[in-house]
Amino acid sequence: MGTRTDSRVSESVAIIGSSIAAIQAALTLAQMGVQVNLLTGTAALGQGANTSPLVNKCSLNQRFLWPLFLQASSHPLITLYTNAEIESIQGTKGDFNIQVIKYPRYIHEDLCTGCGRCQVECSAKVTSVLGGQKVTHAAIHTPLLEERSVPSAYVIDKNGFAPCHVACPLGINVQGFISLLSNGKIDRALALINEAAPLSGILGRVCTHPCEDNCNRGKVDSAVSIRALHRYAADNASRGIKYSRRYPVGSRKEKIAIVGSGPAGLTAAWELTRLGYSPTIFESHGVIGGMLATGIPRFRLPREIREREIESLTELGIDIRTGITVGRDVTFSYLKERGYRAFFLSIGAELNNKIDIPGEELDGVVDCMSLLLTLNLKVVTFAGQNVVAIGGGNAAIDAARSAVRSGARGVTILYRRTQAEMPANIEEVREGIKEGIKIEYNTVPVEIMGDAGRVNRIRCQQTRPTEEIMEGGAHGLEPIPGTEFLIEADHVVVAVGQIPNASQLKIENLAISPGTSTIQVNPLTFETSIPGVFAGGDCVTGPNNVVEAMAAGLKASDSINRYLLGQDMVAGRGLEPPKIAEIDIGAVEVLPYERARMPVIWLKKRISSFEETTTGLSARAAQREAQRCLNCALCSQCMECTRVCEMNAVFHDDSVKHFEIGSKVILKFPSVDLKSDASAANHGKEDTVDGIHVVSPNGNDDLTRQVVKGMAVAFKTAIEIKPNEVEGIQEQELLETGIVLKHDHPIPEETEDKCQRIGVFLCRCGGSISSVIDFRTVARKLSGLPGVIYIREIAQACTEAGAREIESQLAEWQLNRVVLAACRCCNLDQVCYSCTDRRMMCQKYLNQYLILPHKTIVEFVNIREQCAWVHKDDPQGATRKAVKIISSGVSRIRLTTLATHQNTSILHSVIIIGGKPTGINAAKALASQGYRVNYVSRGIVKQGNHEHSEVIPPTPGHLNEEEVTIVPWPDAMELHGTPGNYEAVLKYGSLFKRVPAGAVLVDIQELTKDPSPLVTTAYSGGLIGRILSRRNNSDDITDIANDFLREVTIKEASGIFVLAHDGDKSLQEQVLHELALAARVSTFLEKASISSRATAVNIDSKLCRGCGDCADVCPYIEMKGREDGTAYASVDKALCIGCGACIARCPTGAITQPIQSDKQIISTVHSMLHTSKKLVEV
Amino acid sequence: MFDLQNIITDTGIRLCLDCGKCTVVCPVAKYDVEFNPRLIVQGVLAQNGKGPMDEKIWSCINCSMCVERCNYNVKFTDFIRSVRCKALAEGAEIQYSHGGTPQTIMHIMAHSDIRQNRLNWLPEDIEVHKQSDTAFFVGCAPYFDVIFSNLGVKTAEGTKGALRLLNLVQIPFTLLPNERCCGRDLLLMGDRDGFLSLAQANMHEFRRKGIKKIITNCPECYYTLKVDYPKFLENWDIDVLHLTEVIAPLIENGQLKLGRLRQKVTYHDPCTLGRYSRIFDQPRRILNSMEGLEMVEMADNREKALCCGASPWVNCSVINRQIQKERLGQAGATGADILVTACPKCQIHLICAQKGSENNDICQIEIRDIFDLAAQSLLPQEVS
Amino acid sequence: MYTELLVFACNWDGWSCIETATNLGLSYPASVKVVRVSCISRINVGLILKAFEFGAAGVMLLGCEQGKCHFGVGSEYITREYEKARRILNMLGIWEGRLILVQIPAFDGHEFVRQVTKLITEITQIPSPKYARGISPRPAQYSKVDSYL
Repeated sequence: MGTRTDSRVSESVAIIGSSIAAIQAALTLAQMGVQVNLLTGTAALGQGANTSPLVNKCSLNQRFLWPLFLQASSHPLITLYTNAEIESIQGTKGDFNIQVIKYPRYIHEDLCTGCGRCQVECSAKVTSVLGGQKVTHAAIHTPLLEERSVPSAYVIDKNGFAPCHVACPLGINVQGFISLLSNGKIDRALALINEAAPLSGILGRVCTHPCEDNCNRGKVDSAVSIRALHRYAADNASRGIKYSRRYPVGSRKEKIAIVGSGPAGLTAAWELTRLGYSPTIFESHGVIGGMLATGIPRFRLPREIREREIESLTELGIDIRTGITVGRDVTFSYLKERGYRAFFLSIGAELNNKIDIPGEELDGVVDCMSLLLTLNLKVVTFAGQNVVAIGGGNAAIDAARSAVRSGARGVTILYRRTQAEMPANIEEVREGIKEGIKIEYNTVPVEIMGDAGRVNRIRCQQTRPTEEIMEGGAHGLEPIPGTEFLIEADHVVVAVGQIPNASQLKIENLAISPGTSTIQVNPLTFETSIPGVFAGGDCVTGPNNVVEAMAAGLKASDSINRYLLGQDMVAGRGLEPPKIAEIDIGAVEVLPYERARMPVIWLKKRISSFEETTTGLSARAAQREAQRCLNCALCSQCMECTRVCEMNAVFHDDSVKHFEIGSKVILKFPSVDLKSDASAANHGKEDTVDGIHVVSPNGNDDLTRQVVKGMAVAFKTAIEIKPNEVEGIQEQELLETGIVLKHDHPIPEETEDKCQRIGVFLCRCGGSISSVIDFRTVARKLSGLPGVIYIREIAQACTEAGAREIESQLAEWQLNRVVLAACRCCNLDQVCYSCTDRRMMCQKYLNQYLILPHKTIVEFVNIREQCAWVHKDDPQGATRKAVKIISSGVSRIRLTTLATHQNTSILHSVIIIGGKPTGINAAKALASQGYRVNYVSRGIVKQGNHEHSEVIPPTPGHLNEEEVTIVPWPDAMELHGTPGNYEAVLKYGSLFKRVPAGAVLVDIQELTKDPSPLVTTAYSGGLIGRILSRRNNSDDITDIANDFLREVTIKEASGIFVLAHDGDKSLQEQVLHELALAARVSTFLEKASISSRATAVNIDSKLCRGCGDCADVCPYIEMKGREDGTAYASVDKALCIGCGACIARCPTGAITQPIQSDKQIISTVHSMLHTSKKLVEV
Repeated sequence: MFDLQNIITDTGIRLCLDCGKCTVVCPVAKYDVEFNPRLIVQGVLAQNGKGPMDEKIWSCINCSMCVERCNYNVKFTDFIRSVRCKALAEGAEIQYSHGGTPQTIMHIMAHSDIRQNRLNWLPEDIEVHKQSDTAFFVGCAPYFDVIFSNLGVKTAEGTKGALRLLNLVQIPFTLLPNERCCGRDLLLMGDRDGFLSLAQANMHEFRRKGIKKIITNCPECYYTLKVDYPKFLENWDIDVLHLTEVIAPLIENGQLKLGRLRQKVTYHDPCTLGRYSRIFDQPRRILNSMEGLEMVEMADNREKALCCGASPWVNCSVINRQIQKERLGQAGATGADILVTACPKCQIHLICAQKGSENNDICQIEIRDIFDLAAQSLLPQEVS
Repeated sequence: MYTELLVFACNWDGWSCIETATNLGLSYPASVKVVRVSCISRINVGLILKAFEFGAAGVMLLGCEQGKCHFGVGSEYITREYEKARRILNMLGIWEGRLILVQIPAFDGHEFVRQVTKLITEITQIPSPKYARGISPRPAQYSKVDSYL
């Protein structure tokens, strides 16, 4: 017997699909001892199957499917791959190699307890279509949304990277912080930003926001105002700016010098510090911030903000030395001597270009950098004067707007090209014009004229483009003759660009581009011509923006780190962009809010002061604005789930996996709604491939038909892959002599242990329980209970780790009984509709580590669904209740006795009584599986309507080549024995024949009809009659469905099967049902042994008064007589299904259950109703 | 609490000569070879009252046959009761019958704040004198008829008959709406606290109503109130009568004449009424006074009457059923149509034994309460 | 007001209703305790009355619908025990409404919560406060008297 199973474990079948039929087929094959790989394209079993668990819950569907799924998912011989697709199939029948693609779930299926805390925190709301209608839900959710599923592990909906995220040079997770803001989580939003970059307050004001230019919302109306939200987060975080470190301060000793404290320098310093270095910044100016301090006027970036941000960096421990100019005050070589191993040059571009026209030397002509510097740091007035700025960059605009604020009467900008070509930030230009600035486009200054060495006006001339194209792609310009004109000017600001002053560094062999005089670097690594010296920011790019400079700082610091660690400088630093989320604008939920307008202070106030022009979004505006985000990438990677998940079951970087599995045969179950999918498409082709079968879907298959189909396919497959071996010789002799019934006598186990050492284990369930129930209180109260010597909380009982932890304590404390307060709620060997895959897993591991090896008695108390989860709103109440129900568990386990298991092995033979042609075909099918088959026939069998049935002469032996023995119909029959070990005694007049059989197939109509019915229609009389009398209406199909159900849930195994009646089924239907029946019989016979279930009753024949009340409620109970004439009840434990109805009827208490005895129920009730004060004394 | 010496003196155990007559007459011992009163006593004495009790102590049905037979009047039943108290106090596991329903009901009744609603069964025609200082103690019959409804017992019919007779002879009485179980079963099974709280509750009820005299038709209640209550309750001064003691004399001096009943009946002496309370003749006189009624005796009757085989709703098993079978057999042998008893419990236990007779041949004789029968005899009869 | 409610639930449809209630995010008072039995027909008068003896303010028998019993037979038997128990409770002066028999379809979490809440409100609204908490869990104590035993 054992060997049979083993010989089969090696065989493996791959089943592809997630329909009910597919799952049933997998389970049936596994129960027949075949190894199965079950691949479903979906995240959960039965998902998208045409009999969906979503529909009419109370129907047989839900009651049947659920246990079926649980059984399948937890069967040791079934390996389940969810989200799996077939890439290709090589090989031939018996030796297929299947290339599988498994799509990421982002949640670890074994770790996730399905507690749902992540779902609560998830800030990204996504929409999906469920049952034809749109539902909005969290991006992290259960596979079937509101419905429970197998496996219950959550899934995350992802869609690449949001364009904003990709567009950000700093790689800030824009969608992430926006979704956090949309839930009002400001601090977490800032923290998320600060994971990528510092200086949020500055970026939130002056960033040139490439993110907004790429925002998909722009395709709907206008882009999300990301910069404003960035600023909102920076200005409103309650806990200020706190940067995280990746390595402790000082963990890296190498000295690093950073030249220049501009955005690039500061960012590099920040990143290096977080990496554990202690870099030093050398700043030539007296102020920190480079262009932030000197170049950007206060009304755009207030001093306080700048100082706040820089302070947050110095708090991080960055050492900034101001007033030191490298190359003048200290030399490069000196620093090297002082042990600086790496350098980052971020000196910016401060040298102003000249315009080279007459009069440039006059008083009143200034370059914009020195002007901005002065205005930023000192108080200057242009009261009543005319200011002319020359240039079209941001510098020119800033200078002009600053002039306005310093009281200038008229401010004019001269720009040599068209408005369109103006490089300045358009918003700034607009504001400038609002503030009264006049811009002369296509205009160049020809001469700055003055009086007594002081400028008073400028002669200008209009320009037009020439044909010639200069490098950079712009047209050349030529003055238009006769267009000269004069402009009054008391001050002239020259803002025609700056260049870096690299020569001032006095570093030999530092390669510098001749034209732009920028420092040459490797664009990927930012290395200069000198090893160990890196450069970034304006000094490399020429005048540019803050965000690019900061990005350079980040990349350079990575290089510096690699350089100092001696790592490869380029590995893994590709420039290719990640997959950008593509969304169907039409489909997504769009909240009808308009882009928030950034509030500004009123004009008068502006031109009279340097107060910040914009005031930032209000809380309400910010939240609305955040809600405008379309969540392009679905999951926003805000990491809230990772934060709350105590099991660390979330893996955001999970990826597509490719692997190979082998199999002998492949079964494909394309589901109807996936008709178009490949497997269904090349149906025909594969059908011709030997060993690959496509089970064509049928839209109107009801549950029963799908199950039948699954069983039938499984049985056919089993025939295909199994050697057609007949029972071992010894078994055959047994059959021929056929007298002895084979029994394995049970080894009597000790039924009670004197000293009870009980350990109580409280499962935190990843915090979903412990966050409600106060385990300390519980432990304190329980410690008073008798027998309880150890109480401990564990993180998660349903994992292997959990079981092992319990086992280790078992040894240490010599516990012999364990009460586990978790989500599992019974210690019965059954799968009810309420069970879950976590509970099954829990039982599995406990069996493996406690129950089988140590014979530990385990009692379960559900404190999850029954307590913590349903009393969330009343933690004290929940805690009180937990104490009571757990102590009830303790009182139960103290009364639990080890059930003595009678294990009976099973005869691999079948007797079929009547049922033509169903009987014959079942007989042949079973015989082909190597089972001994005896077919009791009423004689000649002739069926017109089924051509697959044939004529059998009454003479036995016709079917012998199929190992079917024909037995003539007896005058009477008795059935003895127990399931798996029956013996049919057939009476022929005075003679009788004994036929041993593991299973019995009966055709009830044949059985009861004249002549010589073997069972009276009342189903009374004899074992078989009593067993059949459980079924109210003979061979009704719903009855058979209910048989399946009980076989799956409580593993009911009477070993007596009813042949469904042909009725008017089509031939094909008929065959299906025969094979399905054969499958059920075969799975029954393949059980290693039959043992009574934990709830099977004992009847104390001494106590029994023989009143027969129990026999009235249960046909499995038989009244027997004693010698002295008194009667007593007896039951076959293997048959008893443990409902306990007999116990409730018994007047003397002669009937008991090892589990759920009266005493246990009473003590349970007692401890549940006891006041918790009393409890301690219990 | 458990003082072996006291018990020995109170029950006269030392007087035992190990003659073994008790065992010979013990109906339990007859069917359960392992049960032996004498050995139980010896066992307890040998351990000097220490250690776990022989679980056989729960098999005794307190029928008092042994006491009846014992030449030295050793009170074995009292002894058993005491050791049961000890065993129970030490947490012995009792095998309750009927899921412990009767005991549970008694415990609930024991609660001080219970306000029962127990007179629903009372028919219109019965006249109750609220002011009377004589109380009729109903007992648990109304409860029994519900608990054992599936057996079809009608113990309350006996009570109704009893009350009708009292009305007929114009003896005024009142009924106590919040009367409790007398507690005999708890006492017998060793639950002393339970018994006490019931007794106290009843006492309180009697005092409240100023009861001077109690009449009852239930032998168990009768004996408990008459004999046990005075032992347990301080200054008990209530006069307790069994209805047969009230009715029989009236019949003799012709004040009460019962009707006719053409039936052949046999009378089953309840242990508590017979051996315990020595009331043998009164019931028989009442029966014989009925015109046309033929009275036949069973093989064992009066002092030797075989018990109905019941223990106080504990440890009932095939042994008890065999005793009952034997008793019913005796009844059958008399050829009587009706087995008459004066105790609701005898009625219940004997009817219970008749159940499931398809499994073993048990005499299916009709079982009636004596007062039910008496009252029926007074009903207008159909001319036959 | 704390109302100790005991639910004897059958393992199948009954239990599934309670589970579903949780999965639907519903809630009921923590004073509701559930005792699971393999089939509601396992419960008899004795066990029901025990619950009241131990101080339950109310008892609910929760089982499969008539004829829907997982074991094919159970749901009928409980009715008889239920009726008996009600009659006894009534006689004992314990309002029989404290005991209810609920036989509803599987997975009907809403109905379960509805029934529980209904029962609790009804119990708390019983006029006489004396019975509102059910009977006190222990018998009243009396003075010790001479030790005859």
